[in-house]
Formats: sequence, C-alpha cells, structure tokens
Amino acid sequence: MACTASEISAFPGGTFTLAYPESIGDADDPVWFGSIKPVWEAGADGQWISRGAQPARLAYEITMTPGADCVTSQFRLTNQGQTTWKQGMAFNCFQCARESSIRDNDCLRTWVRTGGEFKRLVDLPRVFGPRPAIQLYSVEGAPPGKDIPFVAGFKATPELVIEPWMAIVSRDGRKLVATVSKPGLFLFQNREYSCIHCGTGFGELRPGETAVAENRVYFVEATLETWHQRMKADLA
Amino acid sequence: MITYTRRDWLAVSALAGASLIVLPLQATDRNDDSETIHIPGGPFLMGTTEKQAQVLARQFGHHVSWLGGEVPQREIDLPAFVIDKYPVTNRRYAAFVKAAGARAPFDWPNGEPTASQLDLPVRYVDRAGARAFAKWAGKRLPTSAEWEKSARGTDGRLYPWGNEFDPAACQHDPGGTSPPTGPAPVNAHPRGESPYGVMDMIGNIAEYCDDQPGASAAYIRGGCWLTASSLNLRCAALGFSGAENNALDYLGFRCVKAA
Repeated sequence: MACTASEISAFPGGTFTLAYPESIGDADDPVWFGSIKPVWEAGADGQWISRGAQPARLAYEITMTPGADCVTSQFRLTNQGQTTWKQGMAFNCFQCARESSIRDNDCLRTWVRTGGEFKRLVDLPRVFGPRPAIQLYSVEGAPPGKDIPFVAGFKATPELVIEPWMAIVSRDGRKLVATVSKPGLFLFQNREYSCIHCGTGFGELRPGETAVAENRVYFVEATLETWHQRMKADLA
Repeated sequence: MITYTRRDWLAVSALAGASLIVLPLQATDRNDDSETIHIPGGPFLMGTTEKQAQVLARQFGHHVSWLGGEVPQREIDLPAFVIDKYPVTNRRYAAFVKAAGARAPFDWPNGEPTASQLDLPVRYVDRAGARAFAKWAGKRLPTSAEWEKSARGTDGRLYPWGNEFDPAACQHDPGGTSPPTGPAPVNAHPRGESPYGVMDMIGNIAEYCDDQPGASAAYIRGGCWLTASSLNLRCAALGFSGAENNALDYLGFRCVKAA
C-alpha cells in the first residue's frame, strides 16, 4: 500500500514514504494495510491510481496526483458491508524518517495550529499511553477523538482541538512538509518513525454507499505562516 | 592496600590465613564474551518528582505532560544483578547469527558486518530478536527499573555522569542545520560512564527493555543518536517507548542476568 515520493525540488535527493492508506474503512473496525493487496495503475499526467477491496466489507480507490510541490490524493470509499458505518475513515501515513533535513523524532520542529496560534507539538498536552511514542489529536470540524473508536482505542488523545493539518519544518527553517485532509478526521504523530498522519473523514456510510474525500501532502520552500495561508486558499 | 573507585567495582573476600583476594566483578559469559558490571542490590530513586518535572518542562520549553510517565519519583528496591557494560555490538551479534542461524540485521551487507560496523551497536533488531540473543547468551533483557538503576545509580541524578548535560558524554543530535551522523562505537564516550561504570546508556542507540507500558509495546530507554533535546537524554525519560516489533535504525539493546 506504500509508495514513495521523490524528485522533489525542495528536497533534492530526498525520499518520503506514503502508506496510503495504512488503515481504511469503518472507524469502528477498519481494515489494516496487511489485509488488502491493492492494484496500482499508472494514470495520465503522472497520476497513480490504487484500488483495493475486501469482499463483502469495503472497496476503495485512491487517485494520487503529483503537483509542482504537493501530492493530492482523492479517496473514494465504498461500504460493501451489511451495516451502516457511523464514520468512514482513512489513516494516511506520511513518513519522513528517510529525509534527514526533516526527520524530527523529538517533535521540536513539528507544528500544528490551535486557538489561532501556531504551536510545536512539545508545547501541547500529551497523554502517556500504552505506546508512549504515539499521540492522536482531535481536529476542528470532526467529532472529538474520544467518540471515534479508532482514535479512542489508542488511549493517547489529549483534551484539545486543532486544525486538521500537521507540518514538520526543516532543520534550517527554510522549508517544510505537511499533511492536510478535507475533511480531516483526526491527527496522529509517531516519534518512532517521525511520521505524521491526517486522517481523512468520510462521515456516515450506509451499505452500498460511496463517499469521497481528499488529502494533500506538501513539500515547500516557505515559512509556516506563508504555507498556511496558501494551504487555506488551496483547499477553500 | 586496595583502593576502591566507582570505576572499578571490586569484590573482596578474605581467605583464612591469607591476604585479601581481589576479584574484579567483570565477568565473561558463556556464549557472549562481553564485559559485565555488577549492580548491587538495594533501593534507588526511579522517575522524576512533580517539582522536578515542572522545572524541567519550563527549562526545555515542553508541556509538563511530556514527562508524564516518569512522575512521581519512587524508591524501588531491586536485587543485585549483572548488566552488560556496553550495548550489544554488531561483533557480538554476528557471533549469535553465526552460531544460532538468526537473521542478520538489515544494514549488514551480504549478511555480515563490515569492519567499520563491528564496534557499533547492533541495530535493526526488534525485541524478539533481542530476546533471542539474550537467551543464547544465557541472559535476558533488563527491566526498565534495572536499566534506570544501572544508568543513574541510587541518587536520582538526571544523567549517568551528573545533573548537567555534557554534550561530549553521549552520541546525540547536536542540533543546527547539519543532520546527525549516526551511531558511534560503543566505547566512544568514556565521559558517559554511569556511577557503576556502565557505558553508553544515554544516546547512540535507544535500548529495548523486557517490560512494557502496554500490549505489544516495550519500554525503550536512553535516547539515541537522533535525539536533539537533552530532556529526552535523561536517565528517567520514557517517551521513546513504543512498539516492540520495530527493527529501526536507532534501536538496540544490552542484556542482564542474575548476580
């Protein structure tokens, strides 16, 4: 389920791994990446299309479109089961451990925005859970993490709500990578891999119903503030 | 005359009618010819007080909850045990791979470590692989408490060498625009010695412990060559603890056995 992003102008020689999706389906009982073997197909203009299914449960299609400094992933998720999902989701892993100018296992350069202010993760409350290196966060416009079974199951979600994106600024402060979803469902960060995730939400899905959502990863030479303004305009 | 120093822990026994016999408590083990250090039984201070956590959080610019798992500080009484002086190296792990037919770590070309890798800590081994090595060596992984006592002694100090961070005492990310250079030989930082003489507890590779904060997880201690904040290089830090099945470029281990 993973692919790599390379030949990125802001990160010459750099490689990033996109495990899209690491998990997908009903937020109450999603399917993990080891259970589905997707089929990849080259599309037009550098697109890649990934299709996966688990019979009588779900099917999905992701169209990944590379841009000048971003990759846009359009998700189509179908509930092929017999029961209604309260919340469809995709758990999208954007792994940065292979790019040394970005890798940030200490979360000193990993940023979010809450209450109208940019904050480093280390500025925010953290829950010491059963797997301390990971943390999940509730996001604006989505149900609280405690009400999303997938999120609540990790027992590592502090009491705060942040915008549905996460970014890591480079060591020299001149560039950054970021992940953002529309609609965003939750955020996840794992110190083990210096990976950031912006979960994609599909809302309620009845049997046979299909929903679409979008995720975008950015690789830009910009300050956090400048990128944030652009991202808001991009996804408006 | 016998002089005791913290560096050279010695066992002394008197034989009837004879002068003192001095036995160094650094032994060689059955399958693993590593140096080991005797850690005496008794209590030590584990974790961090709430007051310390508040001070450290302010000093390092972190929310205090980032120190959550290590608060409160408590006194833990442990029986004596013996711990490897250094993390397991590629040289030691290669003997295990050869003898036991275990899988070679990912970073060994052609299934063997290169000459320049021999004294580096072994990496890309998950906890199951670490436990398999320990069993082969007639040992086991340390508990989180054993690890912490070996690193900081009994007095609750922040780092093995004292309460002030010494950048020359461990392999870590010094910050700045250049990325860290990777792990170092396990004996490269003699200033990092613990009160008992255990080496390389902080930085270089983070070390798997035998116990865990939750299912399928492991306590992982000491920070590593990627760690930039000296808050995360303290003996009490627990924040790197995570999945037990990760075989990553900053994870390694050392072993213990009963005294």
